[in-house]
Amino acid sequence: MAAQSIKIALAGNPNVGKSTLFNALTGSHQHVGNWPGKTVEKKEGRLHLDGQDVIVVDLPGTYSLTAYSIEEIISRDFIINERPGAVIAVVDAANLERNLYLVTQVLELETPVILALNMSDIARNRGLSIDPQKLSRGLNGAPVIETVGSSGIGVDALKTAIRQTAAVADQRPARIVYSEALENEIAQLEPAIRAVPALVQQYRPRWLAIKLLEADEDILKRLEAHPTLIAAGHAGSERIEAATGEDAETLITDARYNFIGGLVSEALVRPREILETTSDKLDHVLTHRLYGVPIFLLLMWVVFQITANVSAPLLNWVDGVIAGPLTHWTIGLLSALGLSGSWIEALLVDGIITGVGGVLVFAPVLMSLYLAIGLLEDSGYMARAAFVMDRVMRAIGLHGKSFLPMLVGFGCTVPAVYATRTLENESDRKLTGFLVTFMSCGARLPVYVVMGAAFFGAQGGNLIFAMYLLGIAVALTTGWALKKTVYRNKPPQPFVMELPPYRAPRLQTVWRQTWERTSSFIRKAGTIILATSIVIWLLMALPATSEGRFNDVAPGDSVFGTVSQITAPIFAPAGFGNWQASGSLITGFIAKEVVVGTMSQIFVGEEEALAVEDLAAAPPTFIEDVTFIGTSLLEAAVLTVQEIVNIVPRTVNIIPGINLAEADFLGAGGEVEDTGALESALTQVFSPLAAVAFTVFVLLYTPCMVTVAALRHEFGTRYTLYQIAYTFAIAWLGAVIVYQGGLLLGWGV
Amino acid sequence: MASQLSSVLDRFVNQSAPVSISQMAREMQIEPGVLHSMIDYWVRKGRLREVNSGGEACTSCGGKSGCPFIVNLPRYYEVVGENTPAAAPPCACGGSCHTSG
Amino acid sequence: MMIHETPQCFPISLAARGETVSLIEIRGCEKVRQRLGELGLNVGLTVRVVQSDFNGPLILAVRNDTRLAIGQGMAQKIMVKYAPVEA
Repeated sequence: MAAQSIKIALAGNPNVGKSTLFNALTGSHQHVGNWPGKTVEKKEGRLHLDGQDVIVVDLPGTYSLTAYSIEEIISRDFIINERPGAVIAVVDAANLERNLYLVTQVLELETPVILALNMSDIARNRGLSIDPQKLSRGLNGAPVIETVGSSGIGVDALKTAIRQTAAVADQRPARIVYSEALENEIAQLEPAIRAVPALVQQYRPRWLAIKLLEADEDILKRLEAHPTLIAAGHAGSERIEAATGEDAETLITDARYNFIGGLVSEALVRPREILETTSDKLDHVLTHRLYGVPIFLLLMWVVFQITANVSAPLLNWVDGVIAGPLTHWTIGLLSALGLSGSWIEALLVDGIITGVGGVLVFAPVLMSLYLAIGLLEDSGYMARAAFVMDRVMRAIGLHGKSFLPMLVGFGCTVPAVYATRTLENESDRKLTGFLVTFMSCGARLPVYVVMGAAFFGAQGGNLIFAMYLLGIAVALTTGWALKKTVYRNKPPQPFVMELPPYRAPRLQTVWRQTWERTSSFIRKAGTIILATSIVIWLLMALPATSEGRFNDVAPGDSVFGTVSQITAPIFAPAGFGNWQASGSLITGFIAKEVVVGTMSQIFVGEEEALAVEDLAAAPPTFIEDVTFIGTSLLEAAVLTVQEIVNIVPRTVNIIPGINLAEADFLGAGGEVEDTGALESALTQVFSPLAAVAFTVFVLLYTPCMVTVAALRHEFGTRYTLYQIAYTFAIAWLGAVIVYQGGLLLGWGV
Repeated sequence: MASQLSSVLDRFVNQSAPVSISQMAREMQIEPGVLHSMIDYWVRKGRLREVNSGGEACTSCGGKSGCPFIVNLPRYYEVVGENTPAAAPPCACGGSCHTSG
Repeated sequence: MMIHETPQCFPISLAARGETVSLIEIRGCEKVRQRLGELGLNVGLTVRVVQSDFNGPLILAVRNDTRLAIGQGMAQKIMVKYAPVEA
């Protein structure tokens, strides 16, 4: 009944609200599938305009129509092959120039264009004023419609434009005129292309000529059957390059930008005065000379509360699953294979599950740290942290920008070393490289969490916060000292930094980043930590004297124990002169995560004897185990929510005199925190004061070997050796001062 | 007259230290978004590359898009190939040109 | 200091928060001028002071979409005057 349906394509850059507009146009009449032979999603919808059937195809979001990605080729091929009645080019009105680049390429395909100025409300809020009529005139009369996809504004006007465009048979889209040299070559190629009927049928000759001059890879491949054309195109580009000194593709691209420049200079008026944005109002408070630093510290405090407390229930769950079901399933499986009591069982249970598992348990902790840091980064606050710290940094002669790499160091020290490249001055870079290793990286966090939980219970978050502050303090003091000595004659460079506007964090971005960071930790557990665990297990299974037998030796008498014993006295003044502590520290050089893994292997291994007897008495059934995993996960979820809620009272309670009650969903009080096998074993070897000293040492001592490699790569061998010696000395000194000072103050009980 | 695209590339060639996009956008009076596309063009052509994707030596992050910890730093680019940038020019005015607190 | 009394010209470090000023001279050596030029801070430009305080860094609004933090030392070398109020 109806006339033949019209095809309309929606094209636009990524994130311009194309999908919202597509939905507003087609409503529920949509079909989602894939582009033939590709994994790229294809969305098609229908609408009826006065009885006329219109098919709307949503092209993939791209910045241009070159042949550099599948998405670009799909869009281009669709326009070439399907010859849609019109292409609705959706552009972000607030980023008009960048978005128009794609439009110029659609125009080159000689397809009628309807320009949808989307998000025009945002552009107006930014003080940009765009004149659609002038824009339309510049585009040879193509309809230009202001739309706000989210509220449906302009959708009706868009439909009218579709109708009108489809009604006009002879469309003359705007043409981009190139420089003389280019136009001459196009004029020479065009007749040659027109002479080939098969090509004329498929392509617009002018467009094909331009692509030949650009040496578009996809087109060259498709024209393999026409070597003379390819040769002519090639000769043309060479002549252009000889005449102008520039590559043809560059000239063509540049002409498109020129066309856009001309278009925009007519149609777009930028605000004359600089408007005060919400972001500026936030800056009045957040970067204030008095409140700036306290606000920074408060935010950090909240970050570490989240890290320590919110992740705790999930951590206990993972711990419970590894120590419980996973362990006895492994034992059960091995005994079914007749390997019960063999060295293989010991390797798997005491070596790998205990060592790798002991580290993996902390994935929830790191995840919450990365989540909190990610939120701060994406909101635009991190750059402000460097701004407010500039005052402090400058007071000791450092560059405010040095604080940015230091903040990266909260995640991982290695990228922090590379991030020093953002500093322009060599001596600033070296100095900052020296400091970033004191910033507590994610890998050191598990040690604080374990020690905090073992000795300070619910107050463990404060120990963590204190360690982070101590790291900053030592870094700044070191910087101050170096500035007074080694880098005495190096004046600080001018401080200039761009501040991005504040915005609500994009949860998707933050989540993806959090996941990538956490999975880099998990990957590490599967590689370097796994390898270390096996080596340490081996060294702990090998007896140091001829009396012992393999895999049947007290840990203290093993090779590992004996070697650790030799180094132990170094740490006696710091209160942890036992072989277990020094052994864990030695392995920490490989990766700081390993410290906790080794501690698990040593301490839990010692306790295993008792635990295994217990299990043997009444091994839980498979059903019981599965139920345990399920119910404890549920419980952990409830407790996580509880801890998130409790951030508020805990933060408000810092103010003296206020004491808000904390939420307690399961009615169990704060005391249920069951201390794991590792925690209880630690309390027997360390005194609380020695535990703090040990934590301080872990914070400050020699960076892991990957960091050492990075330092050497960036700053050379000698520098790195100084760094190793200095960090070890400072760590030892720090730990001794804490322990001896604590003893003097009478805390050593 | 050299094209604007080429002058973007030249700006990198004549630069001693890495340049940030927004800084360059102000200097050359090009919309940051457009400059970004222009730089992408040169990156695609293999004439520029992004610096500080960092961790060549880092074993822990095998992520496809470089180190996951470094994403939020400003992005810097450098020239690939023959035109290695000259060393930073020494400060012409001795100590007086530094800025003190 | 009585610099606020002379409306002609003063370093931007003395401008108060919220004031709109235009750059009239950049003092200091060639390197500083070059560095500021690289940042788009050229003579004739109008900027608004977003954050300013005694002896600390400043935040300047340069154009509508850019916020620059600059150190006190640099700010002392940027001489400005109050921008004419537009009708």
